[in-house]
Amino acid sequence: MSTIQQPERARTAPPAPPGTGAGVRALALTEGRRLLRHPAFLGSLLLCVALWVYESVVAGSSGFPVLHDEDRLVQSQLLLIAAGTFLAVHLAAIRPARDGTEGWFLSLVLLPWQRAAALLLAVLPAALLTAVLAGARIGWLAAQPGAAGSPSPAELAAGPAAVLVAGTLAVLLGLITRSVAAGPIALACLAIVTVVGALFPFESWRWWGLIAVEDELHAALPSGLLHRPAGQHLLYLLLLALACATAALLRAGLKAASVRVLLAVSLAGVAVAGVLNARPAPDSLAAARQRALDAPSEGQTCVKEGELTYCAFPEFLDRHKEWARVSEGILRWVPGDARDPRYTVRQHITPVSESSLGQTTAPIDAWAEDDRKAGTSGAVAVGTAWGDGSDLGRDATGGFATAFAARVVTGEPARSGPQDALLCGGRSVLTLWLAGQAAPGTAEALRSRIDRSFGGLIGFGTVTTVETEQSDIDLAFRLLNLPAADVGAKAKAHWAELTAKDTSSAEAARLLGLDVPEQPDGYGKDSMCSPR
Amino acid sequence: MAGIVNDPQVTGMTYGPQHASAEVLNRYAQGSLPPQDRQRLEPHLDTCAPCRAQLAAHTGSRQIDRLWHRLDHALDLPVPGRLERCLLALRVPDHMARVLSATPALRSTWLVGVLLTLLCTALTARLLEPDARSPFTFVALAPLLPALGVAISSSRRFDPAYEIGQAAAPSVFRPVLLRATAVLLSSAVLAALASLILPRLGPAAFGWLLPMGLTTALSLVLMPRCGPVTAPALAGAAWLTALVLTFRSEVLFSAAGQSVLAALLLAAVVALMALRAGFDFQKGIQV
Amino acid sequence: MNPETTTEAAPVPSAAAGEAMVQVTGLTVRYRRTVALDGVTLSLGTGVTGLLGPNGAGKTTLLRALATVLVPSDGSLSVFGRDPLEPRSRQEIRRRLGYLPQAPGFHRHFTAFEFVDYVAILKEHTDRAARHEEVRRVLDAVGLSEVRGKKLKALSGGMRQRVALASALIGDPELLILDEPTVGLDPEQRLRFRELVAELGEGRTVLLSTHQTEDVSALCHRVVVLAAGRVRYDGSARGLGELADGRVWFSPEREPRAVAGWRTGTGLFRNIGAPPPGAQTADATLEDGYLLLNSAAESGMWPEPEAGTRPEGGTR
Repeated sequence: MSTIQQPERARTAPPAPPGTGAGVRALALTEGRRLLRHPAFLGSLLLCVALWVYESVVAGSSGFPVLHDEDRLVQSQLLLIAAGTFLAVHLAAIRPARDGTEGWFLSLVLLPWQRAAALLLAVLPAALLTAVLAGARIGWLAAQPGAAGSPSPAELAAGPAAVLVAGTLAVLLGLITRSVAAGPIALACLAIVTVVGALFPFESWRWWGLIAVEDELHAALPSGLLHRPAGQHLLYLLLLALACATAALLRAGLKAASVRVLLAVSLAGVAVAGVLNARPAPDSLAAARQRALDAPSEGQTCVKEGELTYCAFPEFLDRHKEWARVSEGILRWVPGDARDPRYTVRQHITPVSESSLGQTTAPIDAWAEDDRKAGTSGAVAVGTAWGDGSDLGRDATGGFATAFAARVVTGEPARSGPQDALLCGGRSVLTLWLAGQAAPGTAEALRSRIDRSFGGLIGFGTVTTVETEQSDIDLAFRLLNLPAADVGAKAKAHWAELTAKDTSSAEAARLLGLDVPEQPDGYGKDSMCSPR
Repeated sequence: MAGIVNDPQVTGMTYGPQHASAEVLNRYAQGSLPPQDRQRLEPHLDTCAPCRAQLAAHTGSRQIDRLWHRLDHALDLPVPGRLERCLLALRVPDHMARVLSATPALRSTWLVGVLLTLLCTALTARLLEPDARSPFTFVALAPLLPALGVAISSSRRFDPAYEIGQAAAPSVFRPVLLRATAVLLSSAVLAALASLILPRLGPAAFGWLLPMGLTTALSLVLMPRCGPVTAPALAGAAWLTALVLTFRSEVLFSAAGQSVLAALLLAAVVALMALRAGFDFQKGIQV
Repeated sequence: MNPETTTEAAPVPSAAAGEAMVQVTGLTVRYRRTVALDGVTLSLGTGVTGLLGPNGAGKTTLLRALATVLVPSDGSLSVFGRDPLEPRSRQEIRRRLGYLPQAPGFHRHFTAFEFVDYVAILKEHTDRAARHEEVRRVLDAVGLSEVRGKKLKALSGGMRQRVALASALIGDPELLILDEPTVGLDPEQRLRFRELVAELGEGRTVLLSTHQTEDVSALCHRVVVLAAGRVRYDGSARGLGELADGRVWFSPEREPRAVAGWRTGTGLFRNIGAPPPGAQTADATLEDGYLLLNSAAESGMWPEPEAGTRPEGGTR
């Protein structure tokens, strides 16, 4: 400890009184930097990004995203960052009390409420970073092939707003109690509230939570059929953050009347926004959903490609390229005279049901009626899901391939009722082979469905169902191991025989080039396909 | 002279003309004065120095000493805290209750935290795996909590009196075992409560019980070698590894798997008994 | 009756000459039942003033009141001619004040630089470049430039104390209030610390509370002794030692009449108090005077009833 470096220098009064704003800003910068470098925040950030990377790269389940659903899914992942922010900010807020510097810092120029204000401002960079992440995630998804729909800015902003709420709440909590354990306990309570909200995706009170989760097992709906007051909810979150912030300032000793007024106004705003959000969905929504379910043609756009017509909800129209790849992959082995001159593919939604167990069947008769009116009789149904990343996507892809192949082979549109959906004999083998070879990934989609099924009958499809027997599936997969061109040429040559109703599975397999022994007596006697 | 009793009723009855009589004072000192007379006498004594001096002659010094002694002891007795009172009510011996009440992993914040974590996990199980036969997430997490509790109760970071306790206890094993048992029991009770809200109640919903005992026992077995933080971490890691390895087969939830776990638990307890001398030479363990 | 033992043994020139930075009049601080400060009157000018007193005498309370973090119950207080009770003046005072509290806390995960920088921000040094310059300067001043990148939890207690001192030096304060700054320092560190404080005392007002009478005699031109919330002595350091002149003697046995006494290395007892006739007196130190004053404050009796030496009725 030698000397003061400039003992003779003129007495330097502290820099000219810069006014309280500058001090708060400088402290906010420092606290903000510390927050962004805090292990809890960084850890949650990495976890969130790792989740995305795993989903996209390892599991590969982010293909064919529906952006007006993804904007909402991003929120729940960003809650991780909100949790990290909460912990980090709470630790920063109780730091003076924990380390015993409170008595010292009281003698410094910045007042406790100014320190609280700086801490509140320091949450902003974290929220901003979260917003950037949300934007990057949705941008990445939008760049994926087959992305449909468009994200809602209000939904995307809800994630960063939740980070704001978490940060301001942490400051408030740190000013109310100095206990370190209060942070994790409050966080666990928030987590429980969020999970409970997610357990009831059809209740409107779930909008009182940080995020409102939908029934994510249901295939996507067109954005117009969703009831999500996202803008109001964003307002609710921002007002909640404002209420926490003003309460924290008040608690830290800023007793100005304007702060009290702001707190009262924001609390009132929170209550109003919450009540508005928690109103049940209007009846018109249910009616619109029913209309879109029963008679989709009025809201859809059609596009003609080659000899096929594809009709879809406008947001999903781009998907017709994927569908075309499958349908053309099937039609290439169909002799010209066996083709229907006007095949149509029409997109359908599945019924929204509040009970997860109630499997509802598609209203196929209403669809036939709607198709007749729209002049697209015999249209093949396709759902809103697609892809090879998730079970839902694979089921949809395999299901469409099977449905289209069945339509081509039988020449009939899908029927309602489980018995009528059953395919037997040569038709079944041919249908499955056509579906499996239609496009890269369809065979994989069929196989994944088989892996998840039990029993002798296996149904394919998410919108309409084609059921086949396990023995036919075995034959079809053996055929899929042969070169597609050879089998296809034989299929073309023996088309009429193969699609005849009384051709047995073994005969069909032999016709297609498989070495199958003569069907022993009693084979398939107890099966659903045995002659009635 | 201040405080002379002039009330005719009083003076007329027992106390003589102005002051209390020797007999009254003697009876007062022996504690045989009727209550109503005592109530009259005491205010007078407060203000009358000669009466007090007289009273002293009637009081045996031994009697007073005994009284002081009792008062002294009563004042010194520590007031047991809430947890300690509960334990005493449950007939836990007072020395054990004291050791347990100083266990960090039995503080109310820890218990609340454990309960909330378990509830959150059980609810998440309802959300993520409503149809699964065994609640994987919940069973995976629950055995980690007592291991964490043992780590917190046995490491110096969470106990300000660590050094003193370390030097004072003649045998480290008993208190460590006592605390670990308490942590295990409290975690098991909380986990059983949380299990009630799992999507499916059945034997599989309580599949965490044996693993919980196993992680705790394993933490203790490893503790003399690896230290109070590393040992529970290793035990937790071993449990997670076992889970990952059997993820597809779900064999851990089967009767055979549970039997293996029970056998392992037995082996760990036997090993613990055999290794208990090791605790006294281990520096990292909290007493 | 308790004798009025406030003492002004010798006038202190610099305190009188310099313009009073701090003026305390009849300052009283009451906590619920106890009176921590009882009508303290004091004025401080440039130079190092030592504040001595037993534990619980009210030293920390007085320093906290001067550091504007404590509102007195009664009396008036003026720092730099401003009233700290008025919010705007309080801010102004705090800008020109350096306060090192007793046992200051530290944020363990901050580096030395970060911590001092943090305190500088709390002192409203908002210009980043100038602030960093200032932080480097004060860390240099306390000799910590080598370790400024180290986390505080990795520093020794003495180094942390220096970090705290560096934080107090930010902005080159005109009034420096140091509450027991030498606690936990080894003798060598204390020596360097004294050098530093002595240097700081040139042209500045430094108020230093301590238990170390050596620090006071080495550093302070002026000493204030507090006991039970009252000023018992306010004067030069030499004057405090002179109080014990003729009241320190050696004896072969423990002396019952001494207010304090201990066996020294020579085997003789060194006693402080009223010596018996013919005793072999020794040179008094500042500590002797302080001990004498304390026992007088406790017992209410000055050890020697000789009128000529009894320093009674100082200015209050």
